Amino acid sequence: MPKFVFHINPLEHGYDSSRPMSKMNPLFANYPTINCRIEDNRVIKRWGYSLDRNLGVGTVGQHVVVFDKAASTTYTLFLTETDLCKRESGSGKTFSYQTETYTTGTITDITGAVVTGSGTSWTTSGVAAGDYFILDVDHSSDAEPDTNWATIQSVDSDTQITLSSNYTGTTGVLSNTYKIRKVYSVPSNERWAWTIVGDKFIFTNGNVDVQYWDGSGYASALDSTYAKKARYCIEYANRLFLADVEISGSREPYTIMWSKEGDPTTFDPAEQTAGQADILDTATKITGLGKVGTNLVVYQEEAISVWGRTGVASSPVTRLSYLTGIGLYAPYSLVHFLSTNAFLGRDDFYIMVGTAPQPIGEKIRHLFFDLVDENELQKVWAVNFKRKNEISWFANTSDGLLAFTWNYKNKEWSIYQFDDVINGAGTL
Amino acid sequence: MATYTDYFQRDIAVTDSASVVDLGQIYYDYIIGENGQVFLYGDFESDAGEKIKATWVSKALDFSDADPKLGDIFKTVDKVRLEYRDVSANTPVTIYISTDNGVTWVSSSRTLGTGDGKVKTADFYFLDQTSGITGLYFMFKIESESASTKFEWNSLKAFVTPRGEWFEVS
Repeated sequence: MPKFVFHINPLEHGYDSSRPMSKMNPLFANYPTINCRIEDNRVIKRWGYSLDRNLGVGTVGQHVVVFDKAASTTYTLFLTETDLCKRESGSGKTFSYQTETYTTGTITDITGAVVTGSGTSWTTSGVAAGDYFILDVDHSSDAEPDTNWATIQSVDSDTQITLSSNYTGTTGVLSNTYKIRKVYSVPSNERWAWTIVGDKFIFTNGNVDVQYWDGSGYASALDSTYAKKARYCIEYANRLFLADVEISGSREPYTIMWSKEGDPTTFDPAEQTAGQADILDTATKITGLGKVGTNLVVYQEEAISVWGRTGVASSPVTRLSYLTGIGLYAPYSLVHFLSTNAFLGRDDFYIMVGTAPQPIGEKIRHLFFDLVDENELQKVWAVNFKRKNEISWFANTSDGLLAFTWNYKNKEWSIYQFDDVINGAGTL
Repeated sequence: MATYTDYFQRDIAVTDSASVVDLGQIYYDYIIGENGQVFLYGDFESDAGEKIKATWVSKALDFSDADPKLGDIFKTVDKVRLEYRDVSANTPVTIYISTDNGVTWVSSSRTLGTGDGKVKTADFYFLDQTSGITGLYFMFKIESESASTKFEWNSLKAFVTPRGEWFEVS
């Protein structure tokens, strides 16, 4: 036979793991194709990154959020496992903490690691070991992380705390204002959920009472009586919806709650327009809340229910459909894009089309489930990089942390591996 | 206090606390590293200064997609031609060939381009290799590792010489 030229032309496709490797279309990529993406029927290098801010060694960041206030002020927020931070700009500025902060009273003495206050209620206010202390006089609040922040080792009384090491700022007999940053925590392998309702940035997880920040002062609890902890939240019908909530000290993983219209801080049942509902049809927990078109979608591990607006203030939503046997298996894999949702189910990636899920992972799912252990599936988290038309699902795999990336314009799959371990993301 | 008109200027400059964000800042996506580093994620050639190793790997080809008779004979590949658009000067590119399903690879490297934006071709020769370019199945790998260059790869052509009938070697 004569010599010949075999063409792979053009290099126009991403992954296809839906067939045996030798039976693939040669125009598709094979594993381990890494850090390439498809654009306009060619292979190009994936996106890179450049340092913008450093939140401090040991800080685990999860979300970057744009909080666009109605009055035209826009904040860039970083949500870490322990803090809410606001990006600051200008010479020498970095970021500021907006975490719930206790400032009542004054400090009268700091000797070594022992801090004495006057007019303080540290025990009863919920200050706890692990929170952070600083004197205002030592604090550069827009150039964090300030090295004078000191970890509280113990809360000894309403007027005395002991730090884990000697305070590095001003000491001695004092009469100074101060801050105690009441840092948050997130349940192991879980993440914050956040939304914006009524011009308020709202964030919640299974460890912390639902928090809000309105652009001034510090974050605070939304409604510590009627809206305690919640794992998921979303804005719908100009209300705050919460799911997998704590009621009377117990976790209620099948319950959704909604606030008064236009006021996400009011969940009092005496207020007739706030309310709650239980989804008891299946025994799988709620795993997320989404919006598809004009509808609210409540996801469970093995079920999906779609809710619509009623126009009735006292019962604002009604269930339109309920599907079982498929659901949102990895809670943090849910992203909103192009007025619908994408997520990881137990056996495939899906998007919602109307009221039903449609698989999109034919070309990647064999590879994905080969690389991702069952124990890691529910830890998969995702972000919609909307300026890139890409959804990246980050997963710990047998080959390290990989971002399985779906371009929803050209429907191609790529896999990215970054030089740093990526814990969080966001798009502005 | 912002006015109604200010709203329409927010893509030019955005108030972020008391200061003004740099032009274009809001258009970036962000990712966060394990030690609290917040990164702008976008049109950068590196991962915060570190090289990005980008690799495209083909399926295992027996070239029967071109002619079914080629599936059952030995073949030799002596040259691979890459068509690319020249988007960066001095872009390192290595092409690898494997005949054992990616266990071992034979490579040929070049530094390509001036960054003039034109579509070009580059030939990668495997004539001097002592093993690995004659086989039944061929996998091709294109790789570029750099912190300062980009690439656009359009197509790959393998120059193939058919050999004798394939037989199993135990």
